[in-house]
Amino acid sequence: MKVLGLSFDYHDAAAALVVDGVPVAAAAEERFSRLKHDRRLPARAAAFCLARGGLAAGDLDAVVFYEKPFRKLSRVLAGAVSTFPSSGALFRRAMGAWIDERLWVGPRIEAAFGVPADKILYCEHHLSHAASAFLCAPYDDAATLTVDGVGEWATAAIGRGRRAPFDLSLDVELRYPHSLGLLYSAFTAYLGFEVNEGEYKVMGLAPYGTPRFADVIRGMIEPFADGSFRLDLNWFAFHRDPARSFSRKFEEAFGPARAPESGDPAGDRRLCDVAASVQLVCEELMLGLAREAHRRTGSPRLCLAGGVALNAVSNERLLRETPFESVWIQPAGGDAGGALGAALYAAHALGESPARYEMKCAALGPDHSAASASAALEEAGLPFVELRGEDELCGRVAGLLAEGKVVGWHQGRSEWGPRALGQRSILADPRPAAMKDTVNAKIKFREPHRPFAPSICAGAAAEWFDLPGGAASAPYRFMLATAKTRADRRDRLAAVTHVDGSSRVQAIDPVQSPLFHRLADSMGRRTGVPAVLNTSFNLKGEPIVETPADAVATFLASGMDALAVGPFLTTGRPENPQPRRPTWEPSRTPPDALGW
Amino acid sequence: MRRLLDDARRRFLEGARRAAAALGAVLLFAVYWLVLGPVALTLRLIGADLLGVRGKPETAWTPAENGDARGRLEGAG
Repeated sequence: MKVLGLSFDYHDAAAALVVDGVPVAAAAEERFSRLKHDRRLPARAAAFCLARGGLAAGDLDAVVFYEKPFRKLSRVLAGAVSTFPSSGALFRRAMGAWIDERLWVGPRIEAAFGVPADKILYCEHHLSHAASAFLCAPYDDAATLTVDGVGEWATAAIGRGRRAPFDLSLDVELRYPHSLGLLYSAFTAYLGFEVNEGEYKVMGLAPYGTPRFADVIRGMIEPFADGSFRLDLNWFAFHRDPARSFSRKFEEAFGPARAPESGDPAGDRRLCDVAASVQLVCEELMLGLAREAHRRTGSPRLCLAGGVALNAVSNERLLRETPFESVWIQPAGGDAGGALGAALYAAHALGESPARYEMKCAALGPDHSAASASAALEEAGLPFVELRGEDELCGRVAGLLAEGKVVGWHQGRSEWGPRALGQRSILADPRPAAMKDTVNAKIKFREPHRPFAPSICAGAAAEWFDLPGGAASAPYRFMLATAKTRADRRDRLAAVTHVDGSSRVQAIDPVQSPLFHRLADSMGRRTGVPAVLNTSFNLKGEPIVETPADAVATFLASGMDALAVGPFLTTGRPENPQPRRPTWEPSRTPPDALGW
Repeated sequence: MRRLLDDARRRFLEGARRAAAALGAVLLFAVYWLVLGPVALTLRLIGADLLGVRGKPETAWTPAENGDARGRLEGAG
């Protein structure tokens, strides 16, 4: 059975192709369109998926959309009615978007792919998230927990999954407007970051502060003994305002909101303390939800998805402080992952005998030929050498990294999800503390407080980090949880250890990522530290690069010292380099960021 | 001549787009006040709590609706 899953219209549009229960390809539209968080119908991502599967749209048995649009519309209308007459602007803008596009999901899919209406299916938003985790996890049965801003009505859901006979159901859900994702987004906006983009910046800012506002934030929430909660809407505006997520009361309690263009927030103690406080409360709420999932299901295994599942600090606490013995988190935890989940759910619900699948590697995107790599380098006028074999490639790149050079790394199929896992990465030496500032300022042109992650050989990871569940724990394979760098190793991992001693670790599996593992191993032999500083191959505000041409363009626009694309390595620069891009771009809230 | 016609067509479409946006805004304004308004007031009179913000419940969990796996995929609503 061949199923195409699609997510679009809100943020992070994506497509995923599942054939007989196994994902063949999955990619976000932004990688092709070069528009960060592109929300448009993912025609290019779908075309890639079909080409990768050797299929035409007519070969598909079903196309599944990742949520139920009319159910979502009922929530938007209920919100507008409930907040009348202060929801006028929200109603006009939301209805404009709905009349323009969102009411016509089915016809638009028909028009884009030429599939008949009876092949177009709709999977509930949180069921798509739950399927994206459970049907990629190595479990026969497990509890599921999905937490995000909002889907149709649900903002979080607890469920359970069973492989054979197949059953995936949601037991209970929290409903709009009571949302952990929207609570966190309100603080993201308050701190001057872009909603649906800047949440991980808040997470990164939190260790610079102390959670002195935690009690104020707890006061916005009415908690219940079973982990559920309600928000006090007097603090928020997302339910009545199309562009503002927090109310005046918010600013009275925490002080004036940070203007997006007002520089690095890490220098402002108050803002750091607000970030630390909301992060702490987020962790507490997530622990409550997870413990309730365990109590309800009795399962020792948890599958986690939804945008909040990308909060790596919270995930570490789930690994340490809940009764679950094993946790599996979908690497594309946000709405893009819904495309994969919807397709997997349909394949299991409708298919005769779908194969059992476990996501061990997230490289589900396109790969590119050596010819396209050399063509991109030649077109840019870059001198390059072709390296013979992986040993030479890894040896040369490790040598450059050990010398303090910053290297662009473009290898194999691109990653599924927002994390660079060694296919589209910018790499550097993880040892010197100054490397963090160098990469932030000269390479990625982003805020100086932002931390970087280490990618380390899985076999050595436990020596360097205190990993709950060990290096084989799936969240560490996909860089989805933090861990404390061991105290006696921090000075040797200074560029990738955050101010609180934590790191968002990737433990590189030698079987699933042999080339990247070999590179980290080469670093180990040269420097004694089998790790690299690994950050996504993009500049601030841009999607991760997809093609060799994207990689070359980003290399030229940044201060990277070298670029390895496939078997080719360049350390040169053209005589007339392109001007560097601006180092600070004002954040802006996209018009549909608040779930309407 | 062709260039003039293309230019005229472009200007017409731009104008039509602006007019449609203005008309749309007026219609949505009217719908908001003339349709949603009475509905909202009626719901408030009968004490409806669509967003679950009132009362003193013991939990915020709502039972999820589960049908058979195939049936759940049918329909956009």
